[in-house]
Amino acid sequence: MTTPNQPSTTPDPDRPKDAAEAALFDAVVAEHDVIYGYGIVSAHVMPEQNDLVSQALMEHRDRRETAVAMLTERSVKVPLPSPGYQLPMPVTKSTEAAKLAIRMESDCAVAWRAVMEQSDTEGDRAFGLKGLTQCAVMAARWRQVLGAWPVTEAFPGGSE
Amino acid sequence: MPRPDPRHTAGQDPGVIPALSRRRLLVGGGRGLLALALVGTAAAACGSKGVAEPDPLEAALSAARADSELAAAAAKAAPPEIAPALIEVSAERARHATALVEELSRAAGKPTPTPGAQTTTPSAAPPATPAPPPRLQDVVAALRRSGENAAKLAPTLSGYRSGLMGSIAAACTTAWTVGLSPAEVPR
Repeated sequence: MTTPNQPSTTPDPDRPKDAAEAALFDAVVAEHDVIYGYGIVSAHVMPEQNDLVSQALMEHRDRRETAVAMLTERSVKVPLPSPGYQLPMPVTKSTEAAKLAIRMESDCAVAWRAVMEQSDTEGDRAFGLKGLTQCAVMAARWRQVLGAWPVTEAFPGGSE
Repeated sequence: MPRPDPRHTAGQDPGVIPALSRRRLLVGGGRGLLALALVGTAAAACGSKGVAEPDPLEAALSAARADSELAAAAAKAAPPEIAPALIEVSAERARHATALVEELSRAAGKPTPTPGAQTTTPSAAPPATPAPPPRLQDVVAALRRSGENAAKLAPTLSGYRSGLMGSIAAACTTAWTVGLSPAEVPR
């Protein structure tokens, strides 16, 4: 598990120096977190949301595998899934599970927008856009499940 | 006894990632701005010799303003179940327009126009017979088109501009696929 007193700025020794590679590395870390978190979401949501959970997990797994392959191709060390995670919020009921899903999709959208901003190639930016868009759509669908308003946001992954 | 992996420090826990990512984003954004400023200078130098190419964000700005007006007009005639979603779309597209105006002004080296100055282009004289109000499907079609155009443009841009157009593309797609589709109908 994580140590609460450790400074949050501890750099990952494996994180690449190159900005484009680092953004992709961070996105894989974010995808690891989301895939872990959806296990918790899956355990607590109503059965009606099983399809949404399955679709989200499929998207995140596909994206993680592709991003891992992209890092490997560039001989960049791939971040491993953490042995333990601390959830950003307690999850004991279905509404909290939906809130966690929204939070995770939003965090992932930030990571993929960063890939777009840091990448040097059109192909990588297009891949970042796909991730950003899928996370934005998923976050909105979870807000719909939760009955939150507004369902959408003007700048997914951004702070404008 | 498992040794704590230095990779999995507090910085890697989901609760802290957003702050870290945003900080990185800001740092990266700063670098992007510098690079863009240099590109902008170079472009200005070229522009003085030849014909200046229109900034590709101009078309995105026109689309954002048009979509915002279309959604606002549709909201006035829409049933109460969908009107709030149309108003939200109108507001989001207006925010896209504001962000694009800022970026265009920055790239052109001009101060951002004041909100009052932005609205100095009044629409043409109203037609003799008022057109019927736009329908929900008109707004959906416009957002779909805008989202596709933004998605084509975003990967061809670099730095902050790519991210900005990426967020706009994602917002348009989310608006028509989720925001304007009733929750009961699974996609």
